[in-house]
Amino acid sequence: MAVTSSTAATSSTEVTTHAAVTTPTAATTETAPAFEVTGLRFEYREGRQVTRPIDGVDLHIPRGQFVCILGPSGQGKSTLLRCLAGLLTPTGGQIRAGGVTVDGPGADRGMVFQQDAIPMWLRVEDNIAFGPKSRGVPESEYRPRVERYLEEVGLAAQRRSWPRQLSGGMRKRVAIAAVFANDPDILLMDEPFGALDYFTRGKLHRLLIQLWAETGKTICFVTHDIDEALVLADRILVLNNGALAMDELLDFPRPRGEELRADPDANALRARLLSILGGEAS
Amino acid sequence: MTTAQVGRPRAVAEAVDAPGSRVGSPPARSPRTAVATRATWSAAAWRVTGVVLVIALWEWLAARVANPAILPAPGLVVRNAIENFGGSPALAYLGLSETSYLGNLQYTAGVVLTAWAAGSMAGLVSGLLAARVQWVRDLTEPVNYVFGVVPVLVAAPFFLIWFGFGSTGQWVLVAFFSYVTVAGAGMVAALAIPPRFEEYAATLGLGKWSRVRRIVLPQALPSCLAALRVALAAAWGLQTVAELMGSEAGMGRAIAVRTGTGDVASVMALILILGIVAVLADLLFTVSTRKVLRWQ
Repeated sequence: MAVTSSTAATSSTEVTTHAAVTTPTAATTETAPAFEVTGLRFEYREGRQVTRPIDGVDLHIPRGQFVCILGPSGQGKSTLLRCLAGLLTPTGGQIRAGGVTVDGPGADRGMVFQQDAIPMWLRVEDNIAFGPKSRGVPESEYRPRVERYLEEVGLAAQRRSWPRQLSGGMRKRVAIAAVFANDPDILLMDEPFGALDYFTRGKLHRLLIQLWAETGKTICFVTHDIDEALVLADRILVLNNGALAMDELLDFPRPRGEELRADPDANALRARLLSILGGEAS
Repeated sequence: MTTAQVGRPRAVAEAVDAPGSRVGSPPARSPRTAVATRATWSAAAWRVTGVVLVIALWEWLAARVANPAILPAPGLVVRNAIENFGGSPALAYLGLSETSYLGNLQYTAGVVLTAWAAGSMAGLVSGLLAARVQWVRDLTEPVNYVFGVVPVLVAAPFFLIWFGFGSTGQWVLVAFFSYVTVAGAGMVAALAIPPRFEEYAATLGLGKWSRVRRIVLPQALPSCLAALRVALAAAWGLQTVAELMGSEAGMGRAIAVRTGTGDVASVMALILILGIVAVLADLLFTVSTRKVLRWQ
């Protein structure tokens, strides 16, 4: 299966044009890409030492794409994701989500964390309703979504359980359902399955792909696992020292499973990724 | 680092994580519930055994001493408590404004409960605010710390001198120490909440105050309730000490005057009543807050 290099990176001309637009109309918001990132920089100081986890990233992510951000630890993956979420304020450059400049977190960009972040004092169904209910969305509007995602993630029978009564995989399903039920345009996932065993991870991959296919939402998924990225992604971004080192579009047929290990194109890509990531690690 | 605008699990069912799975629902009475019930009964049995052992030891010692003026037997103390509960001629003779054990208990309990409630609520607000607003923390933390380490026996005379030996001085003393206890615990509890909880809520679209109400308060609640409980237990002791130093009424005052007359049975009866009421108050507090902590 062919693997093609992406031409989606934002040009400097586009940067200038988009930077002038600060308040898009409804029409531009609907047709705007999920993310436009231009000249993104993030740095912090510890004493006299300045660290730049993100140093000049340009990115264009169309709506509906499943993007995996790949790289070893300390290369800026999570920092980039947290900037996209609005949890970190960049020291330079601009991020636009759906045509609107990102200046903080918002309900349009839901996030699933590596560690459990769901409120442990809410039962499963209350956790899934937490976002829309807390924002004052009418129950008639969010209740069908809560019921739908309770069914979709297979937790309808555990709706009255407390999170402590669930396994790690089940709690992760609660987190995924809660974010989908809040109906964001974009899902940001920071190594969400990193702490789970191989089999549970595989099942959650299938669940996530199913939900993504049904909803058509944009997903940015941070991982350090090459095979996870190959199974999930439409597109793989590799970060090296805070800059994009590789940007690849994948068109392997879905669903992807163990057969991907026997695919020559997949193996060639895996070898290239290993080569790049191995070089970064050293 | 420029940060943004923005907070034991025990698996009882192994997950089968396939989408659509219906497995893992706990049965009507799960093994965990049965174990918890057994543990509750076991704990109750040990507590009763402890009380019985102390009473037995007391009875044995009283028999060995064989002098009720030094160590009255449990039966004698209980009889004293019952006989004087509704009215005590001795207390009337000794000039207390409350002439029954019940009247003195009501006086003490009234000051304790109102001062504890007011001081603790102020402490809770102050502690949570200090955790959220840097200048409030800078303002209150050193002051609370200094007052927190001052022994009550050192501080109490000042409160009684400034506010009088009546109930006002006692009330301020109890309220102040409840405030200090709860403010410190509330601040630490709110500061200990991992930031990802608030970040998660922020990415769901919750605003600043909504996150405080829906993330910070519930997460800090167990530690705050523990501090409230500690403050309540301490409040009985503080109030009694304040009354011992000088008061018109109260259990501490009654203990002081009966100690002065050498009536050991009455002193022990008053202490027994005070202890039982304090334990009942603690039990009531624990039971009434159990529902909000059942997620733990």
